[in-house]
Amino acid sequence: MIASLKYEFNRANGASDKTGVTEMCLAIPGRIAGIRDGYAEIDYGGVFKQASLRLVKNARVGDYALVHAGFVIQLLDQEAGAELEKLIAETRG
Amino acid sequence: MKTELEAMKKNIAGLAESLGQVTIMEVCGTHTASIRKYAIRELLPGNVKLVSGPGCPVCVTPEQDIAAAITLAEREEVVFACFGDMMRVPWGERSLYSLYERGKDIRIVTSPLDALRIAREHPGREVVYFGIGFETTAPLTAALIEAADECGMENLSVFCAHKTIPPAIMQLLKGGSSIAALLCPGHVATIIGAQAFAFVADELKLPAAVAGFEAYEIMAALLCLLQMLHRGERKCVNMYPRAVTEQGNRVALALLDQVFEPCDAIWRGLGEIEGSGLRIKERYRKFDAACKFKTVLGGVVDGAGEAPGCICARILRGQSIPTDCPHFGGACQPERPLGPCMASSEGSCAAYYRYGG
Repeated sequence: MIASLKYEFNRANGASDKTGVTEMCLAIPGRIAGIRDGYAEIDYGGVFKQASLRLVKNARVGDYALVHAGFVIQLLDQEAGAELEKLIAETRG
Repeated sequence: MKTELEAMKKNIAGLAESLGQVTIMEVCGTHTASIRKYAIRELLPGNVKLVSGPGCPVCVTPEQDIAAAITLAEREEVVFACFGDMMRVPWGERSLYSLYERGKDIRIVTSPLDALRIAREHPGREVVYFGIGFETTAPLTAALIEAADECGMENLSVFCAHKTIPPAIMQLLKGGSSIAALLCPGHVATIIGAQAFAFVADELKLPAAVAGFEAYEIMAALLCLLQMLHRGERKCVNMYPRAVTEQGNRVALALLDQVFEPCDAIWRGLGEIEGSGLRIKERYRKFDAACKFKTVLGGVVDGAGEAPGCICARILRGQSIPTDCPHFGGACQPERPLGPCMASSEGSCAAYYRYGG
């Protein structure tokens, strides 16, 4: 369900951006490809950047991470997609 | 076959039919931008209105702090480091950008840790980092201060204007308002936890939903809010479970507590709010630019900077929308903004301008 919603939105409502400025509080998800000296190498679909691991515990290679201004601020729960689907279904009930 | 999006739109329309005029406030600049970008307003029925609250950190930074930042950045010995969004916020005729154009050493950073690197590279200069942002960003500044302390950095300080969201929501909505429900900021909740917004339901008696930033996540949260209004429920629901837990990020919260303590703070548009700011604790005071440059900043006058007719303050309270402003898109544009809501890419005016009013 969520995959379908994402697709529909990107197709129908991906309005063009006049300036291309990025938002300050934007946090971007990426996959942890490597860890060294308190920093993670984050893979954003082929583009790699470093992020500090000072704000999270127990990060592991392969985890999905939410990155904000050079720091991992949370590890993403990959199981939670199903949880949101359940929440949406409940709302409909 | 009906698409998922159509099903969601239909659900929202069905719920809205049972309700009168509904105004939902979003309190996050990134939500404001996403709502405009994905044209979410256009997917909602006519009686469901979305307004922005004080959720853009650049926009709520008061003139006094902009004036102080400009005063510091003008100094010969200072290298001033800040996020790019801060550059064009005007204070009278001046802005950080106008100083940069005159050759002042102002560096746009993408992480607070960049300030540490700059300080290392320029041992003879005073590096000042402008710490702005809510609970999402404040732990990063705390990490900068901790790292600067650990390596005994002498030439780095932080001008700290960090703020916390819950006291501002309380202040804005406690006396009653036209707001029927609250879309809570997902990345602030990543740090402070969904339970930090329970007061919206418990004390303000409004439905609240913590939302993510993809279009479907915002739509799902709006659906959840309308369902609660329809059923007469007042709960705080976490609709961003992939990134938000009930308790939040404990490591980040512990670091915030290690470096900062609450203080009263002035918000543009809202005035002074008790306990809504973060101040550097005594233990790390030598990294506090407000102390380091006390004599310099003592003479900075406030006021006298707001452009005549600018309605940013009303927009930040959710009382007006950008297109109500006579300057919108004319005298005030992102390249030459008259007020902070146009200067910041997260500001309502910039979002309306970029994606069409």
